[in-house]
Amino acid sequence: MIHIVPTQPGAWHGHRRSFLGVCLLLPLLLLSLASCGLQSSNNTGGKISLTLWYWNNSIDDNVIKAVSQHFPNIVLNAQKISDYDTKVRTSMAGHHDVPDIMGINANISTYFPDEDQFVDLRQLGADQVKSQYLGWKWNLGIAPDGKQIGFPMDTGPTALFYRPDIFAQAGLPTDPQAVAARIKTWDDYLQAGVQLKAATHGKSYMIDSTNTIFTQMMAQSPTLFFDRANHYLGDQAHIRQMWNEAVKANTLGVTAKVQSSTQAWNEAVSNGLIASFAGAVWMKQSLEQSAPNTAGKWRVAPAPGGAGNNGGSFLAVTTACQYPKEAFAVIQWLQSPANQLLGYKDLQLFPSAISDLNNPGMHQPEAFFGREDTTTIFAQSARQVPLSYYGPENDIVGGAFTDQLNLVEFQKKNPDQAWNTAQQEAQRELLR
Amino acid sequence: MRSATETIVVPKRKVERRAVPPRSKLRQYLPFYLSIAPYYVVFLAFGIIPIVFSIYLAFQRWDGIGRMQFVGLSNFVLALTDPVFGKAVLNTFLIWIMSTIPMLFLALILAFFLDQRQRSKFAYQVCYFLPNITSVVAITLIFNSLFGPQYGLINLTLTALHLPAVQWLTGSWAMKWAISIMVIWRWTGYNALVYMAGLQSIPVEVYEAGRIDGASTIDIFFRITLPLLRPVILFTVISSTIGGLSLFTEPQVLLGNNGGVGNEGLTMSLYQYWQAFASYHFGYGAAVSWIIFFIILAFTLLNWKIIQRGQN
Repeated sequence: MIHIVPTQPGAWHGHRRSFLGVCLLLPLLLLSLASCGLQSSNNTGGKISLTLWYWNNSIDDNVIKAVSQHFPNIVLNAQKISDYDTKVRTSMAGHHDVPDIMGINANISTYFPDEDQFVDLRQLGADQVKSQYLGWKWNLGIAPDGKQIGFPMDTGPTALFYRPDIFAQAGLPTDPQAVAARIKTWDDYLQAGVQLKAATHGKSYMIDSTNTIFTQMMAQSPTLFFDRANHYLGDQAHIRQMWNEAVKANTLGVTAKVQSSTQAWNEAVSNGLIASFAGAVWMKQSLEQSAPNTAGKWRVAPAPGGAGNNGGSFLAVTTACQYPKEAFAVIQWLQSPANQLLGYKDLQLFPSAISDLNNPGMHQPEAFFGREDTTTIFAQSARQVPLSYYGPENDIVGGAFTDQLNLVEFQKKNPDQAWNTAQQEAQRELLR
Repeated sequence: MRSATETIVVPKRKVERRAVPPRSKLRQYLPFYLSIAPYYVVFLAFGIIPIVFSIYLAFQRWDGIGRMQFVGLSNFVLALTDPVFGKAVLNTFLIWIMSTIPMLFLALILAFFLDQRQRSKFAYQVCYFLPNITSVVAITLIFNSLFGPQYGLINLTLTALHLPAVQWLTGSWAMKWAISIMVIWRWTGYNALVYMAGLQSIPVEVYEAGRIDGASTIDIFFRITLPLLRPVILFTVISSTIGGLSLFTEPQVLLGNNGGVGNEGLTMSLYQYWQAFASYHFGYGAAVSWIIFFIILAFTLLNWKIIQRGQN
């Protein structure tokens, strides 16, 4: 019976073997494709292994290296991730390779709808160190229902960057305190802008663009586009007032019509077309890189309209983490006042730890700013930033307004029409 | 008992195998199928499954992490009634026309003259192809500084010639021209090479006959070269259509996710990316992709009709 076999037994057998081989190989191939960074087991040699995702220059690498010395039983696998939010969303949607600890940028509110992906830091004892950090910053890491998902990292207090030499030409004060005394409100600022434009015969302008006015007023505002119940506030008086101020800057012609973070902006700060702009502390680096030829010519004064914040990040523990207590201990240590100070010295990350603001290590004369100690101004701003709430869709809705302001400034769109379009666009965005 | 059942089953299977030839044929071709399988498996995982999933996604509201919420046709309705999407579609076609017509015209002239050259043809061919293989992002960054409003090389030249400077990155038409210029720069050489290949397939006798009859260079170009090149021109038009309708990298790097001031440089693909991957409206983004799919499908059918007519 068994003799009834295929005519070419060897070949048949060979096929089967290769078929089996490919069957085994294909899943392997797919696996290696699908999970290039397949995690090793969380417990390596009795030590606890934690994965940290962050992006370039968000945490001091020397501090990360020191984690293993400070926590002998923890192996911190720190990974620098580019295209950050997309990768975070991909890993969370796939429930795969989600890091234990992750950095979250100033867009932390976009993660509020998915707060169930994060551990409530209050349950890990975060409140015990709450008093060490700036209250408004701490508050930004808290979701509308009170769950704390973010632990404070750096901040972006805002101030006015200006050129005293150009201010002097226009008969404006040059000393930071005198500038602050003269330019208290945004209206003062625009009026000074008119004076400056006339005195320099249009060679210099007070502000880069109308959008800077709008976003910087936002940075100072306690209420933004949403309240904590996620009601849209974009059509209310406080937003209209900021809009009107930005439009007024355009009507008075005091802007250089130069969009920030463009090549044109770099040129304009190098050649004196822009005499001042309000911005966060991290604009110091942008300015130093864009206009090295203007070293010594810039100063920093308190911004018109008061203290504000623009940018700054957080650390979070995800629910994928098996050792949340240990993860929180690492976070707390990474962002301890002492380590935030190191982060400032190495990467100019402005601390959120209150005790650092007075630390002599933060206060040095800076050559680029004519040996002014700019930290005094930024620290003063950092202490006074109002409590505010950013809704998950805040930035998307804000984009509708800045897009329309661009049209008003660059393509002479009627401001009232632009306001109506911004409202319609914002409403559309909210339905998507 | 076990062995008995086996002895009955085994011959039955063998007989069946022999009786049905297609199965043994499959076995015969199995190694070949398996050797092309990796492509299809990868295509299934990264092509078919995402495409099918995007159909499902188009009817949901999803931020990429949390629960999906079924919204019916709402995403399609919102996209089709969004003036910004309408603008993106219009921009795509405008930029396509503004880039394709000058590009193909230039390419044809370049090819015509290069074809008549005897020496250093190859060096020219290499130079023509270089823009095409250079990284688009790198090209765009360089063009970005060329287009600078005050100190960009183009505006410096214009002002030196006492011509008005152009706001390349903020003016509504100038932004479209800026993108078109980059597309033209990148693809003219490629199309010229395609035309050259076409020109070389035109028999020399036809040209010689033309010259004997006293035709000028312009006559030869319009009466001989153009008509005989018609199929090649159609090919370049179709490939430019596909490229033009999916234009993405140039406007994204030059003007940002929203296509710059007033969304004047926003193309269909960029709108899709902006909504899905920068605003995290993944359901809406999926619906937009399907609308784009049907727009391109309609255009492909139109192209196909034109070719059909050309053949008859």
